[in-house]
Amino acid sequence: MINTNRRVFIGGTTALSLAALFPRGLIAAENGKLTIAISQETGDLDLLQNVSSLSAYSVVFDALIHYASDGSLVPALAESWTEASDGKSISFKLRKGVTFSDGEPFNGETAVWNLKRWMGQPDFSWIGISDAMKNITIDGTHEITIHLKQPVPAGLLEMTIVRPVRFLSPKAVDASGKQIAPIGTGPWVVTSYDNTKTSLVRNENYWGEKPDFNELELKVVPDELARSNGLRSGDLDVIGGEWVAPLSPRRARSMQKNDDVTVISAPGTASILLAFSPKSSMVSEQAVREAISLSLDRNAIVKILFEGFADATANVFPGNIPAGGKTRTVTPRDVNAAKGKMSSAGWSESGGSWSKGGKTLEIELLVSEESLPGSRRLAEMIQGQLAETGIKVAISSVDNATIHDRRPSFEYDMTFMVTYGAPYDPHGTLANLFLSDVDSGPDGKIYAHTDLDPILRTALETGGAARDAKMQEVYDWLDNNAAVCPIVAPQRLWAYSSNVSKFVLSATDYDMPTNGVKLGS
Amino acid sequence: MDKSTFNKTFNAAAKWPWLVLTPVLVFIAIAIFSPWITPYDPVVQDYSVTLEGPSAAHWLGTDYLGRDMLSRLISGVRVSLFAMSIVLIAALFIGVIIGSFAGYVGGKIELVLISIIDIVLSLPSLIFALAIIGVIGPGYWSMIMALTMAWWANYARMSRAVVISELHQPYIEAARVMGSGHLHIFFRHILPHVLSLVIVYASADAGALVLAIATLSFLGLGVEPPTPEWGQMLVDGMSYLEEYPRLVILPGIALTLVVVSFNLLGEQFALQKVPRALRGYKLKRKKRQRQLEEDIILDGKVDQ
Amino acid sequence: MSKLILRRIILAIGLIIVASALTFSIIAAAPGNVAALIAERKAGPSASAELVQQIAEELGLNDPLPMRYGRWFSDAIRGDLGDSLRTGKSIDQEFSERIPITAILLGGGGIIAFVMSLGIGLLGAVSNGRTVDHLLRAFALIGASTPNFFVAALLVIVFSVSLGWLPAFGGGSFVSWIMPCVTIALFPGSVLSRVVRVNLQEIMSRPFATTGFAKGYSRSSVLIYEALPNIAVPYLTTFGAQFTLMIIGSIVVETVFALNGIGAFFIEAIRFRDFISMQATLLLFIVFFVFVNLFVDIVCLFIDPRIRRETHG
Repeated sequence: MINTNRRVFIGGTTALSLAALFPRGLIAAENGKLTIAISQETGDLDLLQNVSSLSAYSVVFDALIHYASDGSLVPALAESWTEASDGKSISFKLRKGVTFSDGEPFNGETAVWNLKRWMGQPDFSWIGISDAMKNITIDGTHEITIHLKQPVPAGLLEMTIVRPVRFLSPKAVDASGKQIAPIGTGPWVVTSYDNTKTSLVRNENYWGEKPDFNELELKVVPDELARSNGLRSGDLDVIGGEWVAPLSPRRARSMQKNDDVTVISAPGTASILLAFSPKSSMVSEQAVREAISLSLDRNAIVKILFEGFADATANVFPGNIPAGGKTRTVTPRDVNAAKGKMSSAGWSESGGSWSKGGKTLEIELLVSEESLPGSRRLAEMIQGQLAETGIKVAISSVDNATIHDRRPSFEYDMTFMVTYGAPYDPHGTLANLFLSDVDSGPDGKIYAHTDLDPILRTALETGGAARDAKMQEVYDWLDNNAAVCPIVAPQRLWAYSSNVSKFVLSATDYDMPTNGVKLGS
Repeated sequence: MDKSTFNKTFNAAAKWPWLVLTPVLVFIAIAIFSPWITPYDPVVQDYSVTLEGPSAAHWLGTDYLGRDMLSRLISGVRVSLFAMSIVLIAALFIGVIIGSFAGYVGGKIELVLISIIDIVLSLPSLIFALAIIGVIGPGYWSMIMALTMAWWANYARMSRAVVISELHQPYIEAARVMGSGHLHIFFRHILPHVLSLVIVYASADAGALVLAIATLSFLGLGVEPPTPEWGQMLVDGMSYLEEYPRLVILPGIALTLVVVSFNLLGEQFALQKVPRALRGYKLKRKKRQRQLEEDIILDGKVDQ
Repeated sequence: MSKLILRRIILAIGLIIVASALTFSIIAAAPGNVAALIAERKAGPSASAELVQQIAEELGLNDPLPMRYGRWFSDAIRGDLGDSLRTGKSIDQEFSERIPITAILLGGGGIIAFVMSLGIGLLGAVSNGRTVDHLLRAFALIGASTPNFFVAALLVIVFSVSLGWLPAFGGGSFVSWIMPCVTIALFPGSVLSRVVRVNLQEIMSRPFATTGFAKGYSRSSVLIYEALPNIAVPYLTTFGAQFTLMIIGSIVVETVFALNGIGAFFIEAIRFRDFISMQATLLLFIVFFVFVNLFVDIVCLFIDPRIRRETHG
């Protein structure tokens, strides 16, 4: 009935060719395997396609610069870099003696070949440094310079993201330039992948500190409860991570009672915000937005929905984001103050709802469980909290496609938005989700106002020492206008079994936690 | 025969078939009076009493937002039965009109209509409803519309059969000879027959519809928060399954009880109250594919 | 006879074409831009309007509906169902990975429903009118009224959480299939047990059964050797219908037990409004329904000469 053989055949040959691509001697003596759960298959790890899961790239591919957990930039395939004083070029000194796992050398030529696959391409104009790229020059066998049309203050930070910035062996593409195998310079080499697992072996020629064990298995376990059961039974060694295999706060709390399992939490780098539509007549008044913020019981949300594994926040970005602004104190819930805000703005309360000039306040909260899991419950809780102030909320839960249709056209009063998190922030969220004249695509915008645009543009274009102050002006404007309503910053949650003797969190949740991990008790 | 009380109950049920109406009537009464008999507001959250077990204050305990479970379950009756009634009435309305029209006019129009009906019936109702929700998007009214669009065809097919059999009755001929108009004949003589049979059949379908509504809500495609709906309550409780199975079991039991009540009624109708013709109907309804080719079945059935 | 079967097959194929045309046009009428979704996946969050337009042209989304249906259906026959909008994978590949899972679920559920319905139905007929009969009838009524997601939850509470006997989710081992298959079998098993019970009762009141008793056979042996073969036709017809309805069960059961089968694929397609996957899955469902019914019809033709005569005349 359905011709599946062709596909099965292609899948089979891919696995074979991958195995043939690395020398036999690479499979070293047995000294341990780490099994990490992933919620969906890794896919072919094509660096230019928005398909494969983000978290698996970093074990195979390196970037020039890597992001450290404190927000600093550390050398990777580039040993050092210099930004020109006018900000219009960046020179990189590449690491010497690095080879791809198929034996191809990494040098200025292969680096530029890689960069030109995406820099200046229309598909990647959302990356500032790609959009501003004028040309790239090879200055020596291991020296390159990226020349820019205008300075890109966040350019170096952008060089640390997951894709497409990482480096692929020039032999791993077909005649049309499409990637055919995931061959990088990273600590691990893919030996096979399918929809149940991705198997990797240690890259014995890795330039950095080699892993302590020689096999890594990324096992696909789509169900969250099945993952925690797998961890308890010993089938899995590590679970968790927003982009790897999310561990729900509820499960984390119940697993803490288990002696064989260790739960690790750390402050997250992304926050969940209540975003107001710039076009909504219901939330156009600042007083209404302030009343909404005052009505929220953030601590109850943290306690009930996140089981304590989140931090109530009044900031757009959590404190661990570089240039993320001064920490603001979270105002505790105050229903009377919220009502006061409403009354002084001319609203009058009767029969459990507010009205003004014949208009009754009823706010539509647009949510999609598929685009933000758990958002329906969060919406339900917020609906109950706002009801006590007399603010009526109607929840519209829609599918993933509809929310992506309605958000760009601002067909809602309120919706939940999540900041991108490290290493994409603050410039990623600010540049893509706040500027009124930028095409934000299907994600829509957190907030947009023509008054904000010049302040935000200045901040994004300012580099060096003045950057923090200019960024602070943006955050102050957002705060003074009650333009966004931050709710919580969910914590990073991981759990590991007693097979793991030492666990080190990766720099961001976009990376797999393998570096520094040790096996055995 | 064994004379246990258990059997006595069964025999009583056989003797007074209307006894099976009792549970359904109880649920309908709860649905009507629910705003006055819930001990608490079913949507008000109280974070000081989250996830508490049964107590004097909360007979069935509270959920993860501190809402009273008993109140939510009681309100759930209203939500389920209300949605079910709307779908049933709408589907009956559309089905009876289209089906009777097809049967009455005959010819090519009938052929086209019966083809559409058969195609709709070639897919299980819930699959068809899911496909429609996929097109128009989820939500309460989407769910109502999708279920109506999936359910009407059954009633249309049945109405058409009744109309055709009635048209062959001598008294219709008589009425026609006496000069009655089409509309008069239809409303005066045919429609009452159609309705009496189709409504009986529909009441037996109510249980299946309550299940369908709960299933759609369970899949996250139905009722919006904070409306207490059993399928939604059950899926919300699933993440507390290990520590607080009560949150899953209570709405599940409520749902099952309502469906059992309606199915009991339906079974009674099918076995005792319903004319033999319709019983045969029920079995043959399963052979939908064949009916596409064999219109004669309908006549054959009525002649039984 | 063979002419009759051939006619059935042609009609079945006709029904597949017409029903898939109906679902195709319903889905094609949907709001929401397929091209925009594809563009988003290709180019990341900020896809340009030109790219969207270009993709719409490539996919022929601007052509008239009958043309699009014709193209889609002829591609589908040749085994090309397009790529999923959600995962980007080809639907052929998705199906080849997922059909075995749903097949195991339906197969296991079908066997359980078969054994359960015959067991309960026969036991009820043997203990005609006694307490056991009434209890079984009550069980069947409850079994046919309990939503399968509640059955699944109860099984997990009892056998995984409380007793720890069965794995709650996933695994792939034999035992991990027990709860999903039992869940999906309860509804059809209950309905079918009533069919067995009611039909047996009717047949046992016929003269040949009385003759059997007169010859000194026990009630059970008359039931099993004489009455049972006589209910084959109504039983198989209802079994076919219930078997196709198990697809609905598979949607719920695969969601609850985190099985990556066709049912889960369909519900994910609906949630993400992955129209291409929805169309492909509905076609698969239609083919399945039509062929199960065709199969049942043909089997009934062979085992029951009365039907043959009836349909000839």
